Amino acid sequence: MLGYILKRAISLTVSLCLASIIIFSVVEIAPGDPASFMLGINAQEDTIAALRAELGLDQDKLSRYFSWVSGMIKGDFGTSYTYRSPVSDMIKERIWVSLPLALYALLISTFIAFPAGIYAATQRGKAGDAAVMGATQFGIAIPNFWFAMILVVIFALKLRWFSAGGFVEWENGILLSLKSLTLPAIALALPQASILSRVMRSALIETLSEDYIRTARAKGFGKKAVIWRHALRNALIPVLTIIGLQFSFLMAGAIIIEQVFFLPGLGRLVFQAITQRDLIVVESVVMLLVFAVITVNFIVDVAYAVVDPRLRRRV
Amino acid sequence: MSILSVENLSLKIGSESILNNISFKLGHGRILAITGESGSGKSMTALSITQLQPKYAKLEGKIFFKDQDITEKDEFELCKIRGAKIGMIFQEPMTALNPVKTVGDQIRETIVLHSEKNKKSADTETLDILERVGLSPATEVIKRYPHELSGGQRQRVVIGIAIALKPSIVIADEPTTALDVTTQAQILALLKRLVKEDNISLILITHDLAVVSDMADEIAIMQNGIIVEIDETQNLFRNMKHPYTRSLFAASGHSVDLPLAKRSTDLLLTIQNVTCRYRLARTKIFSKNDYFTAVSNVSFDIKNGERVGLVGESGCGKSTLTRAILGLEPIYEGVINVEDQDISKATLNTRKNIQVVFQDPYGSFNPRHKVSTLIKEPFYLIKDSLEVKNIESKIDNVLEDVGLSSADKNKYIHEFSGGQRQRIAIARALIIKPKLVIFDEAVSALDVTVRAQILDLIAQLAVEYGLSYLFISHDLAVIRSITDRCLVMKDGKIIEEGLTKKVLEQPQNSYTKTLIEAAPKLPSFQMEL
Amino acid sequence: MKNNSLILGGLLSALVVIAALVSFLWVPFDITQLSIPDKLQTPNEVHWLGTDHFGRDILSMIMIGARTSLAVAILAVGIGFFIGVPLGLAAATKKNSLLDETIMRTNDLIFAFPSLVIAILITALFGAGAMNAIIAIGIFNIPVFARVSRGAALSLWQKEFILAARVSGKSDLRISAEHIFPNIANLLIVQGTIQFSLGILAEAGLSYVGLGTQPPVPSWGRMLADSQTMVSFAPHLAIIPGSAIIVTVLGLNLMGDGLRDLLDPRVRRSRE
Repeated sequence: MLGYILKRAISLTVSLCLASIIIFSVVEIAPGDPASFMLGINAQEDTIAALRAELGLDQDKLSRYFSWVSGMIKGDFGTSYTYRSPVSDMIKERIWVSLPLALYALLISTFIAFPAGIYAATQRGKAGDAAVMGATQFGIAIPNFWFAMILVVIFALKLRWFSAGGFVEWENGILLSLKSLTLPAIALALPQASILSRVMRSALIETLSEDYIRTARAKGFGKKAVIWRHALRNALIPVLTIIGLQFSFLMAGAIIIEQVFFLPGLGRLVFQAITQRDLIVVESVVMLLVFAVITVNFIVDVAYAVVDPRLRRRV
Repeated sequence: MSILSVENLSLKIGSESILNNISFKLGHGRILAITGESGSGKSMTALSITQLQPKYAKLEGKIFFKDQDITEKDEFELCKIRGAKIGMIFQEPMTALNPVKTVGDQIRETIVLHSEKNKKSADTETLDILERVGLSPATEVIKRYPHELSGGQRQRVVIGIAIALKPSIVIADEPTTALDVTTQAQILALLKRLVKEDNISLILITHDLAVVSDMADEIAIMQNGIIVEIDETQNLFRNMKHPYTRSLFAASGHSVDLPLAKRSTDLLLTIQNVTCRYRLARTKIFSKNDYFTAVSNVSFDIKNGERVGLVGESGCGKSTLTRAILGLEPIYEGVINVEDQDISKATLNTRKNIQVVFQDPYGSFNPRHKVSTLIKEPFYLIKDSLEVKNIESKIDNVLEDVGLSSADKNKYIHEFSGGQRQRIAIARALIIKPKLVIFDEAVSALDVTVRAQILDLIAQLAVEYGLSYLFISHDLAVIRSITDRCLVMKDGKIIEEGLTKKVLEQPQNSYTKTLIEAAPKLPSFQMEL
Repeated sequence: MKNNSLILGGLLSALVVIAALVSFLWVPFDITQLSIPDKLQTPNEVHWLGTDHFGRDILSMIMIGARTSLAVAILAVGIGFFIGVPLGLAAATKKNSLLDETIMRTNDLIFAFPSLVIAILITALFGAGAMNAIIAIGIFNIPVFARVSRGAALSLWQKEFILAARVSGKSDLRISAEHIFPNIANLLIVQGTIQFSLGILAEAGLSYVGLGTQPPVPSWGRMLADSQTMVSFAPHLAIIPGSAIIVTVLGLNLMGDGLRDLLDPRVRRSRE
């Protein structure tokens, strides 16, 4: 088990290193010099040069890369070109919107998907299954930002149960903050819940056709008991994979949803930074998102080993 | 009084009739064997008794367990019978156990499910059961997961589950088919002992008449969903009233009329000190690579016209050796020569001397190609334009040689039965007239009657085509009937070698002796037919 | 055997494709002509789907938008297919080799990037527009196709008919082309329809945030973005393009499901 985790941890580190190189390179080769962009088209050559020196843009690429990475390890994400304030402060402020939003959505998605998928699998071929499958087909086809707009129209503009956008800071009460994240989280969760229900259903159906299920039935377990005691844990393995992948999707999907609801999250930050050529912010936020995704996948890998004893002895 | 009585049982899936009006009785403490070839409906009979047949199957008839009709019971009552009163054992020990639960859990839950026992007392019982099925130390095994046990050990666990609550009946569906002969003998002995000790009635379902003859008090022979004959074992073998019983028996003990081969002293295949090894998955992250030596320092040769057998149980290295001879496996040490050419550096021209027939009649062909495309694939090895001419007539000839018609070349592979596919596989191997053919468990997946036909065909074609072959099999009876000389392999080494007759009748090595003793044998009063 | 998913999905997809093709020859109204007096009409006899805030005919815009969406998604899937499948097949021929490891680890790495973030990054840094959107979406299709084709090919390489082909002296490349690819083509078609529908959604998302197709070329995502401020008093502006996206994606997904049932011998056998 320890060897398995260690190997995953090593591959996590390697992935992070490679990811940082890729992100840095993409931003490097992108056209447009941040300094001249910041100063506008009428700026003098020497003012631009001075700003470039101040931002550290005149150093060679390699040393800039290493100072960026070593800064990040220490928690120093550099200084924003546009706002001249530490990027880490900006991120800290925003992450308390984005992360809860993604987790909230993941929670909703899982809470819908598990019962729906299990129900559909037990009703396989019957009306209940067809209804769940039909609903999930729609759920997958609906673009989440459009669904978000419809939610706003219905629940904010017409029914006035929620506000149409904006975020209530956590200091003003956790429940109020959660309330302001509820519509965005539902909008994000719907397509994910649909996908996850389908995965849950097919994984369960697949598992139910295994020989050991027949063994369990021959022991005298009823159809329901077999699902709880034998099938579910085995079906969890593909489901976990999808939950891991969905986290990445939710972090990214949040960018667009944050636009719809005017939420001050990481998505909006990176989006603004891109349009303002605030590359240091872009690099850091993207790196942070990648870090989050890779870490979640690491956790999923460890969860595999908890679920499946066959993996524990591997490295 | 009988404990189980099946009356006029019929089962249909869609419009297809799987079981047709079968009736039989099972007496207290008796062993009833149900035998037949694949598709005879024997497994479906087993599932129907506990009402575990597929949902879409339509069942008619009555099944009396003691005096209650099982077919009229609801799911709740059935669950109380299954596991407690009727235990079941299935064929595939590798998949019959839940991979994410310990074997202890899986035995214990049967006990807890059907009794009011708490976990602790169920635990002591579980330990007892593990000891009874010969898994010791039980305190150690109880914590193991299925993947940590061998196939035979897993089957012991499955047996443990089935007998845990001392049921009245145990139904064992091909319990040893997936196991090696030595393991099979142990498992059968265990099963026999346990049912006698607990006075359990056993229904043993198997395709293997030899297994049955040794175990059963009574035998039912099934064919196409019908019980064609059912009788006490002794009587059945003595009388064999039904022609199908006779043909099944004849095929099981079939001995091929192997013509004398033209012997020559020219070496066709020479294998010198060959070792093949695999890198094992590392168990510790910074440990050195571990290797598993699948074939260890093996040497032998095959002369022109020789028919050689290679026997061994699973994991003995025979598949790796086969693949090495075919040039599909890297050789770590040693040399394999075909006609004095090193196979690892072989050109197409050398390779055309060797062809192969594999075990699985279903996986051996690309399902998207027609038979003609499939069997002419080996022509890729021949660059000589003279030989490549007349391919069409060669396809016709070879198809007729293997007992098919030349019209079959325009069909797709799914239109053929398992036996016919194996004929096509032989046609593919023979079409370029190789000198050596390797038969890799080529008849193991076939039913006995088809197997007998294919073995006859191979013997006949070997003479017609002037072939040498290496016949790899786990089945001593097959090796006995179709080879002149044989090799016995164990743990990657050749442990015995000699004329087939001599090796099988006067084995020198103790392992060969065990192997021969473990193989189930048909009773010898067959001559009274 | 009836395959309702395939029929319904095929019909919906055909509807969208036909709308896109017809738009090359004819649309009800010229959408380059603004007509403010006709603005914000709800669906009526003249403008079947109403008009937008510039008085443009929404049906015409939806038809041309279909063209954009389909083109972007097809090209993005094409990138994934033509790069991903050969990589996957190559990785499968040499399992656990350096080549295999490199391809698969690179795949994992691409998977680790939140795809939409990177698409936004690429389009933002290299310029918003349909071409960059295609590349950005296409890059994330590569690992999907590589993974699917490798997985399927690996199990085929164990099959005895592949061993027989190897015994016949055929090279790995030849076996991949003759035996492996035709046998995984079904799977790739199914995956292709799924990726296609994801591409439609991604294009809509990028256009919605202003990084996909640029005005004046109409696109569904763009139309939704424009409708946002007016959605409370002119909901049809949001409902119609949204429905267009849903119909397309639904159609493609249903078709993918139907194809899988049709082509997967396992499913087919169990239904017979």
